[in-house]
Amino acid sequence: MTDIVLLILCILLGFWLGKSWERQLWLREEVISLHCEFARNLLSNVKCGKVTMTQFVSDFTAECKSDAFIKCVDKFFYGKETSIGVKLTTQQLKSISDFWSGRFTSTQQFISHIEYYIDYFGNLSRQLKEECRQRSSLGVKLGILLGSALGLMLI
Amino acid sequence: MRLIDCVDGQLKHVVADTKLRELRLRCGKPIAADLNGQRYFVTANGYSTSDSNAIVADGEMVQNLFQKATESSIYTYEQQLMQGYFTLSDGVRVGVAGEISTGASGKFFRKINSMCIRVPHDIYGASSCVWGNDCGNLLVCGKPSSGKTTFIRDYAVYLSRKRNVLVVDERGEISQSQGFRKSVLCDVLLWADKKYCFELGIRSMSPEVIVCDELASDDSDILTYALNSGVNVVATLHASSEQDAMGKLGNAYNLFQTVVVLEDPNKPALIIRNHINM
Repeated sequence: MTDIVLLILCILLGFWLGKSWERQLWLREEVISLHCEFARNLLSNVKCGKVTMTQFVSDFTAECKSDAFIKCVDKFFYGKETSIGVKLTTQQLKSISDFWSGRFTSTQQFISHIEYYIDYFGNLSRQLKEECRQRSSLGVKLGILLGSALGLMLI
Repeated sequence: MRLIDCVDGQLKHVVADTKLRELRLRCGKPIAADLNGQRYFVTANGYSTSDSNAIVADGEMVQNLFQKATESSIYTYEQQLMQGYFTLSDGVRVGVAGEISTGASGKFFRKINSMCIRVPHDIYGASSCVWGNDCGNLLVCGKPSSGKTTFIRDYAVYLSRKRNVLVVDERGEISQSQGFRKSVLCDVLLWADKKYCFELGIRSMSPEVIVCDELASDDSDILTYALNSGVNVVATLHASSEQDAMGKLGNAYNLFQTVVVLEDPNKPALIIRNHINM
């Protein structure tokens, strides 16, 4: 009886680990796609709305449900010491940092900067989505498999 | 955005100094400050008359200050910026210089190399030489930094206790200072051109006096319009003497009954023409 319980617990642990890994993959994609959406909306604001950046960021984050994106804003826009809690590659982190830290002396420079990052984040988001589709189910399967193996070893 | 929120380190102490009138940052050059008309260089410990220990402004410092002053929103300031300056929420005027390019949508700054930050001052009694008199239409002349705006700001506060005053403030330099906001009892039209504000203000607010900054040679139409409507005008003009003022305004100069010339902010104002009281 104890053996069966131990096996089930190991399988559940494997499932949970696999699910967490899958979540991390999707979280990465979510942060990037939200940056793309933010940049698109910001471009419209620059061209039409003309709300200041501080106000725009505040409005956008008020409606945003992603903690990871809000932490990115805190870290890169407001300069707070915080961890964004998503495993991004060095290159991806640098791009996000560069996006937020651009310095401009004209609207044209600002628009070019935003347009570049709409493309960049858009492409990256598509790549990450594809990666998630291919690998996310693998995480749960692998977790269950490893959990079962561990459980069988412990019996 | 207030100036104090845009600066860091030693500049925070400089900006908090009530004697500060002007701060100049130039890429690769020592930071200069004007304190009550005296020129100093900003050092790590305070001020010095020598530039040997002065803090040198680098490109990044100028860019960071510009970025903060524009709230990272150059698109909201660009129209003002193409006149060479923009105004912060506390009435501080930030003038910029650098490399200008021309694009499809017009001229724009490609690079900012220098900033001239002018801090407005509320000096009670700055216009006391004309208090108690019926000045009619008043023209205040002077060179840049001679205290013209300080003079009319103080005069607007003084007049607003007795008459209905409308301040036409194209650049936010008259009405955005703390002292003015606290003590004045007048109406303010902000951020629009004089012609529009004169017409709108006279029609909607029935002012007895309109106060405005920096007349130009082509403003004679709006002066005539105000006078024909029975409204007195108090205005400033960049001119160092009566001759300069006459040369710039032409016949419109004769519309002013009182003319005050400010030679230096530390010297008393000189009333050179007073058709009403003479």
